[in-house]
Amino acid sequence: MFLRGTVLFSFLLLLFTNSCHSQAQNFNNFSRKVRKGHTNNWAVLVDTSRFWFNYRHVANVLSIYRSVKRLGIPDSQIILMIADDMACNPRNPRPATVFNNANQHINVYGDDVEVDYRGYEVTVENFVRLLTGRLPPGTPRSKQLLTDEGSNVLVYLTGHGGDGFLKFQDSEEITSQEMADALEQMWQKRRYHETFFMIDTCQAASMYERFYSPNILAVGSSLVGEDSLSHHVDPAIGVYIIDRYTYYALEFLENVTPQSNNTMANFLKVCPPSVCISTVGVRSDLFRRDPEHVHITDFFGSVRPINLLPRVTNQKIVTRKSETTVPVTTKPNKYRYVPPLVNFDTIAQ
Amino acid sequence: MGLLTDPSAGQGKLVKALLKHYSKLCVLLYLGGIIWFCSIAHPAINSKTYFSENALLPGLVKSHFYGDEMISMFYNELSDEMTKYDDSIPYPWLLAKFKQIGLDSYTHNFTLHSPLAKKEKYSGKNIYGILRAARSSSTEAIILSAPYRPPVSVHPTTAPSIAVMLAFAKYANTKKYWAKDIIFLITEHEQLGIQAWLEAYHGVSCGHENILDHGDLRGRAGAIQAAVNLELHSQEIGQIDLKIEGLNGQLPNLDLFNLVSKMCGKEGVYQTFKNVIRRSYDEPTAIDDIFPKDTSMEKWSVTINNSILQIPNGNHGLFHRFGIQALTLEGFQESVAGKGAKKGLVNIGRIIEGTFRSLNNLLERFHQSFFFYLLPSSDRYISIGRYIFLCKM
Repeated sequence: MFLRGTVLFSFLLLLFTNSCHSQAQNFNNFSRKVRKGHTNNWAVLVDTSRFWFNYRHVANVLSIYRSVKRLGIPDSQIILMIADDMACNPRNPRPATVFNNANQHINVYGDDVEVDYRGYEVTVENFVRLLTGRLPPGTPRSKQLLTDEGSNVLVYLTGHGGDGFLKFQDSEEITSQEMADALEQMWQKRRYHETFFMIDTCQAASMYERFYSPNILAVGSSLVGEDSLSHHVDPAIGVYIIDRYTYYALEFLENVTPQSNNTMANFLKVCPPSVCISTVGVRSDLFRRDPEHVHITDFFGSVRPINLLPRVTNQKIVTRKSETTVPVTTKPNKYRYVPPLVNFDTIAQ
Repeated sequence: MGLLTDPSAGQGKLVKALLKHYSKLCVLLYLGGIIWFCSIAHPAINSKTYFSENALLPGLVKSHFYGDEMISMFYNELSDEMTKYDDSIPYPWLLAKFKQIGLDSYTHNFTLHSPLAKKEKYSGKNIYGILRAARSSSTEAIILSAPYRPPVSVHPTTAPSIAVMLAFAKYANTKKYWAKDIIFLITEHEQLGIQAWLEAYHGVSCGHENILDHGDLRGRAGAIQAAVNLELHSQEIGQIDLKIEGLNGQLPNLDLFNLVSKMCGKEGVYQTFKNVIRRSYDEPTAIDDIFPKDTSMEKWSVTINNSILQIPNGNHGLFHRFGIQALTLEGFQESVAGKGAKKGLVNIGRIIEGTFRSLNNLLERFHQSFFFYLLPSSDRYISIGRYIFLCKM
């Protein structure tokens, strides 16, 4: 019996040391992950085109906004730029709504949308200033991209584009070189940890061809020379309601939950030419990690690495008394308390 | 010295040769011009029509216009009223109907002082109602007009147009997606009435002063972007003929013509241009037909004839001077095809609804498509760059 006891005791001791060791290992893994990975998520979602017939671009960007919010990125970390007001457009037969599907199930405009740059504020200058952080003092916090070196940034652009440029507001353009330079400024100022650049326009691949900063993974809905097409018409509203690439991307994202282990590699494969008609272009040479091992929530959601400690360590908190003590002198009371004329303590009848 | 170029100084062989043979060259070029003009009717040389304006989104929205009984009711009441007013417009009834529908309704009085006989004066009345855009400021307007023809008129009746217009006005008033005002206009005395109304609307006098006294308009909307004129002659329509020729040869923007043509196709109504039925939308053009059956020389010469005459063949022709793109839909009971189901006025109402929904989408005036063109048929066009053989376009 004594023998059995010692065996049991040594077995328990072994288990205990094992668990200690694995716990230490877990903690090491955890700290390694936290040190190398990102700490927060931001999203910059931009719709660059105006006018009623570009309804689908607004629906695109609002759908991505909804997905990103659902997966956990808070409004304070989403910069939403929409160039025109579709919900309150006099031509909208369903005022105060924007739908992304002909069956009109989801109103992606909703009650809690927070548009940061609206209407004519969506300009190339504002966009570049937002990315690089060179905003005038006094810009409200909701209009600033307050990222740091641990931020993973999702940049989504939609609108009308061409070979090497993206049209803003029907009157100006941002070239691919300017975009690349803005991202390089972001890198040099340590304003991102990793960036996922998503663009849904015609000839989208031309926009990311000039990138030269590290840690950028880019995907475009069409290659140079191809047009990105819209998905379907809503005959009740009378406009094309969503673009193909965004439609299939959303279909993919709808199956993603904050706990999902889905990888970016699967996301990059969404929308093959058989359904998208245009070919989806990917640029992954600047990205240090393998997209196979990148979680989709690294960019689209806001998942913080959490390690559950099995027990709380009782650590003594040591407070040190400060050496220099400021002598407190009592000054004569300059003011004295005067009770108010009207007493609010009793509820008036 | 004197002249910079001395004609007798001799400029070279080419000029000498030209001068020697100029009469032959003249005849040759003249004949060449005639042959070119005949040959541009062939599909190998002209091009298929297409929509230039992306904002139009033609035919995307489903038309919901209904109200067969309402149209019949309006038509019957109007026919009764017309018997009471032998040769003038039944303005109390029309005004009352517009008011009942809920539009801003007004009468416009105008007088013509005859230039030939000093003492003769002719007066007329136009009735119009304005449907104000619900959620947008009244900066732009589109017009639906119909000429009123009394029973004694020599032209075929247009009472069904007025019935459709009233029914459409009633339907449109319940909708809140109009971004432009819609003016429903009923004019008297054919082109005189519409000319007087346009002059009063824009505050100008187009001809000699004091001949057409255009009076004042008490109610006005913004800048007019487009106008559709209706001349439906019966309650069952077998074909719709689109008329585009305006005063002094001006034509509406080709996009407007394409738009109405597409709407007619969507509703299944035969659409004709110069009485030639439009081919089905899917049928490819046979390039190797020397003269396809719908562009015979006779029809082609009729087209050119009308352009040469430069007299507007409908009320729409007077809008073009003011920069307003306009055309006329003339509806006949019998179609030249002889076969095919006749469509009711509800279908015409849907064509109007589809056209107006597309016009509603516009943000700018028509400026993308051609203003100078010839149409050998409803689905092919010849732009000015081609029929004036100056450059290969």
